[in-house]
Amino acid sequence: MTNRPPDDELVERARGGDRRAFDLLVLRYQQRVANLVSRYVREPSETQDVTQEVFIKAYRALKGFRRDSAFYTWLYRIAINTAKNFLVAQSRRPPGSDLGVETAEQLGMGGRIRDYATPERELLSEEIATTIRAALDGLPEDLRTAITLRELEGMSYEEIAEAMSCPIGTVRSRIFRAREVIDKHLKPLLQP
Amino acid sequence: MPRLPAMTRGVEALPPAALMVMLLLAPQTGAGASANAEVKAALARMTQALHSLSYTGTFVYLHGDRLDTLRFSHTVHDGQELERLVSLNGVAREVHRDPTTVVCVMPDAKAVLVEKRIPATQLWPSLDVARLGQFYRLHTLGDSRVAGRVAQVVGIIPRDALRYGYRFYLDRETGLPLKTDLMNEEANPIEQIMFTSLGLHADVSGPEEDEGVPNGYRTVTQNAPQSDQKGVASQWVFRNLPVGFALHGHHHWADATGAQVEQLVLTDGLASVSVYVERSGSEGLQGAAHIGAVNAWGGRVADHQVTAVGEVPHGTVRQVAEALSPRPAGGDRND
Amino acid sequence: MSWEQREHLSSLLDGELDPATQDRVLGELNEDEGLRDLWGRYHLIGEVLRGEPVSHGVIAVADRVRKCLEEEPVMLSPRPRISIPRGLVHVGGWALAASVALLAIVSGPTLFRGAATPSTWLVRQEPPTPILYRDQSGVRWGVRRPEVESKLNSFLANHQAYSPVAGLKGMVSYATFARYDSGR
Repeated sequence: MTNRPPDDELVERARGGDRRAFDLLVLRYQQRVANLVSRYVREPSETQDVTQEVFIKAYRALKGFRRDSAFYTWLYRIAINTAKNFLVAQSRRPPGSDLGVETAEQLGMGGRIRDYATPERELLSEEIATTIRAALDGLPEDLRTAITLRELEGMSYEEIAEAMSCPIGTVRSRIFRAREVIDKHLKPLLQP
Repeated sequence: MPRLPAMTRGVEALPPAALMVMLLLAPQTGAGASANAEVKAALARMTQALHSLSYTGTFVYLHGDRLDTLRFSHTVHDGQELERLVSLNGVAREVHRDPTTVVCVMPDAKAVLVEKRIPATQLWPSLDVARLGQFYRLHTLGDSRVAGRVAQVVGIIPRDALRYGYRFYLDRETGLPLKTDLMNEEANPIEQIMFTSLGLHADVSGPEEDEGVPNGYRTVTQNAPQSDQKGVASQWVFRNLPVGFALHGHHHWADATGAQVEQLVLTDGLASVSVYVERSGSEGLQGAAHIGAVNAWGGRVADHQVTAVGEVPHGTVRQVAEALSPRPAGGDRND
Repeated sequence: MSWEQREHLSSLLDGELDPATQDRVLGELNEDEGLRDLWGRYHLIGEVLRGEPVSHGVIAVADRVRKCLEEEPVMLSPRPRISIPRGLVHVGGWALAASVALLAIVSGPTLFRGAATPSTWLVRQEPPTPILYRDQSGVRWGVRRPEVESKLNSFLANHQAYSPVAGLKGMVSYATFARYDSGR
């Protein structure tokens, strides 16, 4: 069985107008794009806005994406350009020439001005990472090995099967069960 | 001491309290010359805001039982205006405009139409409010709230069924029209544009990177019209135009075969109709057509194809087109 | 959301599903919001395992993008569905023969990149529920001949420059041009 890059199918569907396929791509890459953007943009709320914009631009430009390059490479370029443009627009703004933060808040439009990087949110991000790592450490060794080889080493199921001397079906099952155990701890954290 | 507006001059002798009440009332009822001045000031401010601010927004366009969504951005860089409009539902048509060019992208026809232009503000620096008053009732209609913001409402309501009017809801802070109604003579809105999101750019670094024209699209370029031939009368005159409409100017293009197309523009100061006159071999509209509130009427006059287009009621474009006739030899002036 | 579905999702993530099952799972992802969220969480797990930073606030970006894209026109398929009639097509009454130019191919399907995020929002509202978005059966001008239709489009675009209202309302008057679909 060929190990096609998982993106191809989703990208093709998205190019054909399948917005839900694009949504899955966003879920796949949003953290990575946000990390990239945050190197340029300081405020977390702005990082999120710019990240959002990156994906919207990517969606609109999808027809022009040439399949000879990797999707993420293409997305990466869009992210860099978008973040840079944002910075340039920001830096050109003379101080005090905005309509005014006060005005927006007076009119009850203060939502956007609120700082999203509250201590609670930072704690939550940290808690997500801690929870996942703790759950990983608590896994039986065969599950932990399987998922580590997959996610950290990027090995295919076939390669893992060889490394662990077991059938591919067992690899598939172990990786899945590892994820299930971790997700049991993760899911409650993300409930609204 | 500032002079009082003309309307209240005659009441300077009244007790101050009564005078105060009148001054407070006057902007609300909007009667007379001071209302015209207020409307003029408000519209001037709106035009100024539309052309000098940089902003992006999404607006909904309500007409009939349809709702279309469009995204619009206007940026000013180095004193030059760049505008972009794209349809967000249905076919993604786009219009781009800069001071010299209009580009219309039509994916359904896989074509791009490029036209050289004269910027509209150069042609129409401001509304002639006094002239308008003959054909429209001009009001300020107090303040209203639109999308959580305070808006000044300004109405230009037609006095007859020959033209449409407008009702503008102008953001008090910026002057931008948050909502615009197209009005008939019964002061009923027949179409509406309303911004559902609108944001300002404090400063703009420069024109965005332009990705260019899509693969495989044809481009059709139309050069700027030859200069308005002032002093050279058109070979056409208009008889029996709808009340208030008069010739504003005329222009020529040469088509690919060298034949002339003449455009004559008529206006009542707000509404306008363009009449395009082509030689008789040309394909053209016969009878009526419309797209929303924009009407067109076509037919043959003296062996020419004549098409009238304008954001006016159906009867008006027809009357304008049918008013066209060749200038009689012997110098009957058209003015 | 069954055990089997979740296992398939896990394999899909790793690119280890046969094409037929893949199709089926992608279809299921369309229907099941829970599966879609699980996809998101599986990716979070991988990111933390690799030591990549994750931000809680970013999790919702996909929801916001999805909401924004609800308003987007459906992207045209790469294969043209419309056949251009042979011979000359009149646009604006002037034969194309002399003025057609095929431009160099550049990347990107649209000219409209959208301005950068505004620095100050004046209005930020939910758009109304879309009505009749998919109804594209209306012909723009209601004329049968496409060359007349083209000509009227061109006249209209041109007329906007000479309309005092266009000067007043700015580009909004182009909404008439931009908004309608042609029936094909």
